[in-house]
Amino acid sequence: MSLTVGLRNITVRLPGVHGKGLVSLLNDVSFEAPASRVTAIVGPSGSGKTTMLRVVAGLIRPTTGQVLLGEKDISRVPASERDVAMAFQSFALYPGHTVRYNLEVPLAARGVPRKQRRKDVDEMLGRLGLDRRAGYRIEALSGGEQQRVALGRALIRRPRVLLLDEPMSSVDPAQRRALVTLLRELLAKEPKPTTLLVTHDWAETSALAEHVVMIEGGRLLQQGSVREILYQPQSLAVLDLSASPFANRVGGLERTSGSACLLQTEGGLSVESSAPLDGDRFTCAFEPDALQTSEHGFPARVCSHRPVNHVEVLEVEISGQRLFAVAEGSESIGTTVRLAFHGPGQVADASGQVVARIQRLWSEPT
Amino acid sequence: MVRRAVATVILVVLVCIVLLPLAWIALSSFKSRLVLLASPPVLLFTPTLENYATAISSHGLISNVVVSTVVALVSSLVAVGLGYPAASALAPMTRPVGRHVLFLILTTRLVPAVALGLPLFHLYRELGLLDTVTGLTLAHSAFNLSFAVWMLVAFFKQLSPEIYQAAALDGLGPMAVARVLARPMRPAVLAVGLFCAVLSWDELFLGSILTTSAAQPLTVGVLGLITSQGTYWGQVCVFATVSLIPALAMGVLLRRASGALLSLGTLEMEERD
Repeated sequence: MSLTVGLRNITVRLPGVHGKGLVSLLNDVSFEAPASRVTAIVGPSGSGKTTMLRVVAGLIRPTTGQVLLGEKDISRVPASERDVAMAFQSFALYPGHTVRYNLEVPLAARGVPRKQRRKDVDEMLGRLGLDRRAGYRIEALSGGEQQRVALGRALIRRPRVLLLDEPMSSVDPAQRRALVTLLRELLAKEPKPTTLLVTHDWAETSALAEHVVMIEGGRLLQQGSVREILYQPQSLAVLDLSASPFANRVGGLERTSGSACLLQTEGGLSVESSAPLDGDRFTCAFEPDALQTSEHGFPARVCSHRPVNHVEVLEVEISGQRLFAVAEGSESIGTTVRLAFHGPGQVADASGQVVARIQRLWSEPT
Repeated sequence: MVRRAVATVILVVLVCIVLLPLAWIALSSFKSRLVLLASPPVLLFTPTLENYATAISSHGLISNVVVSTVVALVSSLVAVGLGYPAASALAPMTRPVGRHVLFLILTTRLVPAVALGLPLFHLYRELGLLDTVTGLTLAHSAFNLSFAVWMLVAFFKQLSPEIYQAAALDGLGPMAVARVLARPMRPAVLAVGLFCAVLSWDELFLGSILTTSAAQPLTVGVLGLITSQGTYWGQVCVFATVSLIPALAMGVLLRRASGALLSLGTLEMEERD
């Protein structure tokens, strides 16, 4: 019964400050969110993520383009008739009212009989773990509890389309884990809604979503499965959005005269790409775990080390470059370790487009 | 410490300057005619209810108070009752049409009262509403309505606009939204209602044009005490004192309500860690 949600060539322009000029929030964005699945919309702050949700919800009318629910164009359908529910980042709960009342409003507005309403609300309160809070006023709840009420209010009427605007942004890490578990449970219940999840957090994306839409500056960067985004990123911008805090970026790579696949930095760090390259300046990108200690590797000096998720992340110096690598045990600062590149890694050209994978990476001792 | 003391002294002086004339009027209402007009003014005197007795017996004080009370209560109820749903629907409007409607409502207050008073007089004469409590209530309701809408819109705008969006997605129509928001808006509604009541209680111009005797409010009654034979100063003081009482009471109530009003805008963020 669930339907795909699609945007077709959506452009949103709004008047700028003091009505001067137009600010472009979305630029010719098209994508399709598969039915009954979770699609994450990932992008940095101000990239237009929330605008996309609002367009789907009908809260913003696009300047041009169409919003599709299944095959049907719903661009002109008012928000209240779209069967789209949304959990707002600010929660937007009804102030002064109880938890029960807040959960009941969407049912009452749809004419669900009182008895059925009571039953549904009780069931939802149980799922949310808020049984004991039913009679509390919204203002008396903690941020995490308000967040759960907001999710419950969006889900209680079993909408065909569910929009989640940064549902984890105001909870602490412990609550976040609980909330991820809760969301997975709620979203797995039939009939599964077609869900759009706005986030800037890759951990949240990989925990909840199957399909990903990456945007930046109001433009679509890439869309695909979580796996595709992770293993076949099309640009450095996409890589940046899914990168760990220790992700390596090596700039200033130049093609050597000998081969179309061989790149070198001035310091002597060499990279062999998977495909012949055009152009002259390149950047390569890889996560620390692509570079690991190995007996047969090339030498690198340890500058610092710290434990991260049960592995030791080393900051090393190789041919004048500071890079992060992974070691099995801890290494003393100042010692020389041997590292080998296992991949994966990407080579991007000057415009930031990924043009090849890193085949090999090593350092020539000078 | 010293600065606090100085500030306190200055405040006390200011309060005295504001309250002294009011206290003087209240005091004078208990003076006999001779004491009242004595020069230099007499401070110590034997209080008498003589002025009150004549105000009631020959100047219609009771009827004036009843009219003023009924008109103030009913007109503020009508203004808030109609203004509340209107403001609830107008506040979230982002399209220019919302602003235009609001401005149109404001223009009814931009027009000088004289310009509306005379046509109203003719209209009322045709409809037989002259010198009736109904007529005066209607006029006050209309004037209060625009005020109520503007005040309430300002309070509604303190709520996060996302609440309106959530309500739309939940499937609530404009009237249902107004109902749901009635609870957080209660202090605002109370305050605006009180303001309207005070405005109506103090209103003189429309009253003096639209009423002659039976439906005279207090403010117009005072005017009647200034006659060609002279001014009934004792009774003027009585009327002024009586009209002060509810105004002061409403002032105190408003102060109470304003505490709740201040927290209205922060409803959203409260209790969030």
